[in-house]
Amino acid sequence: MPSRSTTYGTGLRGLSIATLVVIAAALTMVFYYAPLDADQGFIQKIFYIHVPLAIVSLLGFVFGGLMAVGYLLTGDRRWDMRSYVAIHLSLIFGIGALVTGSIWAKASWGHWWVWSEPTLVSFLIVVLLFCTYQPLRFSIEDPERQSRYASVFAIVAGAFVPLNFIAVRLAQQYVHPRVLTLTGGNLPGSMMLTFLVSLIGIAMLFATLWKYEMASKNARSQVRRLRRTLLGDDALAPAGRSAAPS
Amino acid sequence: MTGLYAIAPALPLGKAGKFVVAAYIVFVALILVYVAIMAARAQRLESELAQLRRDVEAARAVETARADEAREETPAGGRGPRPPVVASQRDDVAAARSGEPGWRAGGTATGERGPA
Repeated sequence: MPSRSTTYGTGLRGLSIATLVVIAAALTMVFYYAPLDADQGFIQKIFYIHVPLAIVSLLGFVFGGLMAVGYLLTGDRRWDMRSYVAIHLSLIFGIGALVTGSIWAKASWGHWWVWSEPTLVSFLIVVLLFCTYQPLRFSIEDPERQSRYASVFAIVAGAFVPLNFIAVRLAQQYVHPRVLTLTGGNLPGSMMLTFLVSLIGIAMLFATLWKYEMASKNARSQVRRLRRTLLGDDALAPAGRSAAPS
Repeated sequence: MTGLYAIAPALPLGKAGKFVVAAYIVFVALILVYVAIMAARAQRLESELAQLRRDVEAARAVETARADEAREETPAGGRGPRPPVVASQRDDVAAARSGEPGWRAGGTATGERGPA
């Protein structure tokens, strides 16, 4: 790894406070500003957490793929670390989207899961695909090879995300209501505003947690490097096999 | 706060309410679990840093001891017997390397503790 250091903690406090403010504003708007849906009523409030989680998760997978391109181009393992953290966080957000979606499906359709709904199933496929990312990394002991193979996987799987999304849109059965389209969708103004604030809040939360985890991993890596510099290679306990970039 | 309670009943928390609450609780729980894991990692990092500080201090003590020994062995130096603190530093170095709990830089062979 090159010797120049990067600090991920810069601006983290400000970003955390801004995230908290936006999420608080979003929750207030969801419950006290956005009108009740004429069809679904109060249950539609899940939309404001479920859809932003799903969108941010999918964008996070693509972001992870782009970071992996950076690794393959430069060979700098910090890009691999960025890719790893983005995918790891996107998986957490994706699981959140799946669980909240399942709760919404139960309340709205009377079933926890509907296999005939292409949007649900395609999202599950994407999440399951990225669930194999960690075991893939763990199965490769050599750190360089681990980073290289994981980057190739992240790029291919990241490219699969928009393709999958487009394919589902083209083959849609309209079981899942389409409220967001390129022509503006069919959300009224106040609902759209609330949704956008929620989306921004969740995206900021992703960015905050990403920076938080990067700062933590970077600090650990610097401690290890410092130990090696001050006390020699012998002082460094073997890290053991890990899925995370070292 | 009173104002919040006054508004809250306006929410139509009926049968649908529990599903909405469950969805938002899932979101909050995920974030809390994540933060808890990160907090545990931060704690581990802190202890790694403390261990590194102890090891560096121990290594410095060894170097000081070696330098003192070298000075004593020089005839022109004409110094007296080695001060007992050097021996205690060696013990501390050995204790630090073996990971003995409660070891702290500046301690002596008799178990006295120096400044933290």
